[in-house]
Amino acid sequence: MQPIIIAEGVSKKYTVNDENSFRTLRDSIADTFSAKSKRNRLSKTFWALDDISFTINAGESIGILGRNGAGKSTLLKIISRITKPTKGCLTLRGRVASLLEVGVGFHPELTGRENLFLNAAILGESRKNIQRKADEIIHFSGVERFLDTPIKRFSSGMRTRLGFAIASHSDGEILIVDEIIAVGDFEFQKKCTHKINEVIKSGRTILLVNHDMNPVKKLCSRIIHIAHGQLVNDTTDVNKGIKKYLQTTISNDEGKNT
Amino acid sequence: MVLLLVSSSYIRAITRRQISHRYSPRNTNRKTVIDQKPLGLRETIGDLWRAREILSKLVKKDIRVQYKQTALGFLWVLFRPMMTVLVFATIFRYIVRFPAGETPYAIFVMCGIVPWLYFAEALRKGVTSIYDNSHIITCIYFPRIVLPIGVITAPLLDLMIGVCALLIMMSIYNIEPKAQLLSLPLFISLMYLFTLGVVLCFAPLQALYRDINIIFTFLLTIWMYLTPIIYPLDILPQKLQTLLAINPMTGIVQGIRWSVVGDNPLDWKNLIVATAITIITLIIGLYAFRRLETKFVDQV
Repeated sequence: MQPIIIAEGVSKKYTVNDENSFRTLRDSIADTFSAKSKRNRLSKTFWALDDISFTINAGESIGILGRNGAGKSTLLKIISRITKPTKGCLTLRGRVASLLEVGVGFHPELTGRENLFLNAAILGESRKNIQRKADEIIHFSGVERFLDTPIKRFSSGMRTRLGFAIASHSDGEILIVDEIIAVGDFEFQKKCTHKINEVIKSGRTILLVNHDMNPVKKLCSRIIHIAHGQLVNDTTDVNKGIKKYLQTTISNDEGKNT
Repeated sequence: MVLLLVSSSYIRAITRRQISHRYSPRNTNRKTVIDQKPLGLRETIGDLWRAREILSKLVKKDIRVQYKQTALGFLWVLFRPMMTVLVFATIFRYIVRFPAGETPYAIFVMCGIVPWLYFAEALRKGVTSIYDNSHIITCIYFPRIVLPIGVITAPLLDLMIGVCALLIMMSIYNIEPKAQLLSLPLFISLMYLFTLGVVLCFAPLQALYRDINIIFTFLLTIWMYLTPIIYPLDILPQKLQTLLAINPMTGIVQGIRWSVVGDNPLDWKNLIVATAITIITLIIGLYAFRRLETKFVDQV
């Protein structure tokens, strides 16, 4: 099999400011004149990812597990090229379709149809592809009736359906899905799971983050477990991987959350 | 369902083809390496080319959204420059009395106001373009440079309509455009590129420091009076004239006025200065944008 994602020592450092999350020009000017120690007291560095290495082959479906703040989303952001690693290197072969959030770039004043084309373009689809698949996407989303209404009149569920429909019909070789199956009603969740299964069967690579273990069990062929920015477990034995993850969560936290 | 099957088998066919060709040299450009280095210039341009679809969609979006849910809608594009011209023409024609040569003062002012309205609008929106779209850039990757480019491209339509209004006004005053009107697109392109350069410098900074936007709001007001829009440049003392020539908008507005009305010779010197500064601004802008791109995504 062919490696499609190779991560070599990927690390990401964030600076956390205690005072406020953004800095003004005045802060920067003040900082250049003040002592270094003062600056260090105000801002702490934080390694969201610390030396992560793995190789993913084409066609694998990977469940990424970890508690809130473990670094899952940071990892997905680096793979989607949104943010750059502080250290290390990641090699991709193929286009990434990332679904960190659905309906990114939807403009409230535009109609559903206009947003469909806008969103698909932002996801990197070519005009030809979008036109070819538009009907299929519309049908899948199940919002045909409201397609020519401005999206600000959509319910949040309808917006999510349309967003997921667009992204899941993308042609990227790597599909990243971050906790979005949990939205929508039961029927739509089933539809999503079915669609993802279909994508897996078509031979594409999937990275799935989900806190509900059922879809992970159903869909994934390998588990990557991250805690405190470090790779804890990387196994193709899905059931064992999930078990171990659940155990560490409970023992660390005495069942506060799963 | 049949459609689904067909498309999935189609996808499978594509993927398979790519797998089998993966080691051929022709396909190596599909490989993406992500590390801490900012993108090179060639990668940026390649990325931009691949993102032309996004660009056109963003421009269309901006145009469509601009006057949604306004009662007058598209008419605003015509009204805005007209109203500004009316105000300036009244104040400066009857109170300050600038000499505008043979050209009626209203036409003289309009030649400056129409491009200026574009410049001010594009700059104001362009500078905040990254910040305004922070939600998108933190959720999905695409060449972020299309955001400022798209935002300053959409108002070109308003500019075009403004130029049409100007030509209509000229026909009311019985002024016939001359052959040099054909050079108008050149001057507009120069203004577009200058705007792009400035926006590329400051949009990433606005993402990091919100101060930039506030500075630009009053900077633009001062800048307008430092550009010969409501007054002809030659009523100023010589020293001030040379000083104002450093402002690229001086050469550009003079050029546009020459091309539309054309009763004064073209000021080549100011135009060359404007072109030189535009090129420098663009180079700095591209460099700054690439350097700051890695930073503003994390800090916006």
